[in-house]
Amino acid sequence: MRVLDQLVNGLALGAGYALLAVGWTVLLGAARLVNFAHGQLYMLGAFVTWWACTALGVPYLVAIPIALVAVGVLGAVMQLALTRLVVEQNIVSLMLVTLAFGYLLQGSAALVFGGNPQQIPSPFSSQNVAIGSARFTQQDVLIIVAALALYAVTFYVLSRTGIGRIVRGVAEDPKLAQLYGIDAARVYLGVFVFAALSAALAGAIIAPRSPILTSIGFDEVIITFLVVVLGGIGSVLGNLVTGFGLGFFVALFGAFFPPAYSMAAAFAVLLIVLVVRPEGLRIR
Amino acid sequence: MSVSELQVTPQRAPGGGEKGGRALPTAVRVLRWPALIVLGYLVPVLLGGSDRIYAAVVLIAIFAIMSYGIDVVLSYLGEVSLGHTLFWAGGAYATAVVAVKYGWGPLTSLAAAIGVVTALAVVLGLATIRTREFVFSLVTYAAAVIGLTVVSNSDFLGGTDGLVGVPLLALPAVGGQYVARTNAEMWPIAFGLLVLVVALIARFRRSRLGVTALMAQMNPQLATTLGVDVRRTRVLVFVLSAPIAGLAGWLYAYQRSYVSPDLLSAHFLLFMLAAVILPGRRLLLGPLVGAAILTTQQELFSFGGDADKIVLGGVLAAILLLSPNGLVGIWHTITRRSG
Amino acid sequence: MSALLELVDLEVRYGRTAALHGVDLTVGERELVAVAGANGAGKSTLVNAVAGWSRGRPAVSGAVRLDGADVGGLAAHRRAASGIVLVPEGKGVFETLTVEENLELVRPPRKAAGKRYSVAEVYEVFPQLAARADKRCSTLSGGERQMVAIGRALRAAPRLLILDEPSVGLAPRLVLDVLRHVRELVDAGLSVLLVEQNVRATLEVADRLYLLEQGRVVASGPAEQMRDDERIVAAYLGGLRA
Repeated sequence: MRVLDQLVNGLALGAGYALLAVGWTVLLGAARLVNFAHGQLYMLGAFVTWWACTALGVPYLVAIPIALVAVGVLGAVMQLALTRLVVEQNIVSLMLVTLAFGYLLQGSAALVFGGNPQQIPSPFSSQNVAIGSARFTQQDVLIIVAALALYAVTFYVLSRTGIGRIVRGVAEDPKLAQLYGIDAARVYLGVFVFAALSAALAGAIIAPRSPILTSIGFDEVIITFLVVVLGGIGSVLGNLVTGFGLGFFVALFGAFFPPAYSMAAAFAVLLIVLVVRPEGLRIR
Repeated sequence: MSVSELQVTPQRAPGGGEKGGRALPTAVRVLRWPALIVLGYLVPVLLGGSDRIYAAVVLIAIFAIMSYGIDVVLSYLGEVSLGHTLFWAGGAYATAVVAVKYGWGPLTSLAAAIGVVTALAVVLGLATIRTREFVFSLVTYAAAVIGLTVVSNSDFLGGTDGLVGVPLLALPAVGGQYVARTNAEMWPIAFGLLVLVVALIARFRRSRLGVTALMAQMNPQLATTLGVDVRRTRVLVFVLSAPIAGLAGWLYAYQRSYVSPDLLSAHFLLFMLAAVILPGRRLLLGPLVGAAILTTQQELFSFGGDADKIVLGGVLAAILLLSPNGLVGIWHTITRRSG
Repeated sequence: MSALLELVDLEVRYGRTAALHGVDLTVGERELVAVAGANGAGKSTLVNAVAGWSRGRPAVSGAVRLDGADVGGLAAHRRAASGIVLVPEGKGVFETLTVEENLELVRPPRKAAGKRYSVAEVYEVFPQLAARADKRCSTLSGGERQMVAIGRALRAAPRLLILDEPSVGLAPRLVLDVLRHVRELVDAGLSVLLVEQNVRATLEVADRLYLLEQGRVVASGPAEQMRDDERIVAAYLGGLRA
């Protein structure tokens, strides 16, 4: 039942991909900000978790909130530096500045955490869960639960709460939002911090699956962007579906071809989709 | 909109020479470029002529050519291609494959380099022809990152170690061959190609395509009403920019004697972006100056690999946040304050 | 009747061009005052000068007074808090949000300047909207969208409502419908400054009218009187009596 194994594997992979994408897509939809430092925020989420576990000696589940706070603060600082550009909607400069920030963060992390591969000691990574002959750990279950929970919360907040209304209004028309008495700059700050927190959460929860280096993060950005462009920018449900879809694709691809090329294959699919439907596949 | 309004743009484009539009005396104008070329060629000699100096200036020339590739797209088309490392590395890898695996000469490898990168650019350009601009940036970025993965895992391309043993650059010349054994001997070739590329850019700025690209950037609706196919212009300029970076990659393969996946890393992407943005907008010699500054820091004032990342990222972020018009902008602010 | 809004010798310059010259205008309590003029006459400039939103950096001289106090130095959102609420020309609602969401989205100022309208009270003014409360505004007709925009403005507790060309994009029958709702609001205590090209409909609901031409007030007076003014008749009413 190789296919079944791969589908189960794809579930965990897909949950991780979806988890990576949710913050980024909300940020892009609300502020039209392409955050190229996303991968480094993921990496820092993973490394601060590792550092808290090993240097501070706290349990894994305590290390996660520490990582979230650290990266959340960092995200707030970054956004404050970017405020003028975001308000001006200078999309080109925003892309380039976040790209530069990401590189800066990569260098800083290497200086602080060193260049050696590290392993986050999560108590869940070694506990196996048997589903047929598929290899599945409790960490994978954690990823799936976290992804579904975060998506549920995000969807609920965006569609049913006052804050969600405000974010959607600013996303549609920041100038009009001013007339409604909304301070768009504060909304941008909140959304950016949310994006940073979700990237850090993804790092803390997904990274224990394998050793981490301060040079990681680039593949994660590609995955994120594949999910977002294919699933529809700002479409929470679309990203969830596409995240899992990509996970299944990668798992199945890896069963028949060298796994290293699975991203290349997914990218090729994206190119084809973009030619046919330049706006991506919008799932409403 | 009258035609006279259109003509404003090409007059502003050649920014490297005219100061405030005042005409310089004819003698200065005619002799300006030849003098600069001669002086430029003599720079390594004037700085002592050691191999270290020659290595530095050769690298500056190569990285400058690399940066001119992205400059064409960023400054004139106004689009952010984050995939030009693909053309830079593509040119270098094509050269290495042809020279090392098949043993063919540099002119063949140059043809291969240009062919490969042009094909890549056509694919990417056509795939993104109808997408929004930031999707174009994302796609080019993804292309480079995925290129890195593919190259690192490909045995044919040498995997993570890359391909070593690129032979010396031996070009046909009067009386046999000109072989570049040292950096000093490579300098005339590198410098010659640099002058060629700058001349090409200067010609592009005044050409119809260059003006059209600027128009499409500044006012796409106006451009369309004037009959400009904005999308076609985008693809055309993008495809024409690729061989410039590919040319730099070709030369680099011979200079460094090996190619490896690091050519596709973020380092070169950040480098070429900073080289174009740091000096100021749309300056003819901007990328050259930028490449010179950054290469000098890298080679002579390095703080170590990781710290250099902080420097490069920090410089680019600082310029974009504080002085988007680059060093020229800072200069103007200072002179305006005191003036 | 004391003047709620007073414009005294208002002049607005963009660079060397004066968009408004020496404009004197008043809006009293419970008054619907209309400003008519062709495109380019200076209507938008007038709206922006009163509401405080400006495009570019105009040089403004003269006074804008609310209840006798000069508000010229206040930024737009402060003026909104003191009761000058703008319903902008064109897009005035969030189209991806529902009617209810648009109305709920407004944050009424802490110190309400005028009457605080609750969402339920807005529905009383515009019953058509109650039926479409959970529909996205993109699915609404132009007239309904205009009503949502006005409803949104009411939620901000205005003392003076500025309506910038509400008829744009609306079928003529709907224009009158919207303006009659506005008249009801005025009769209930609101003051309205209505800037409009559709003079015919305006004359039906306005108390007084100013005619703006090339940045100057060239005529003003009670609506019945202005109806017979030759300039208005010739330019806007096609030479025929309404």
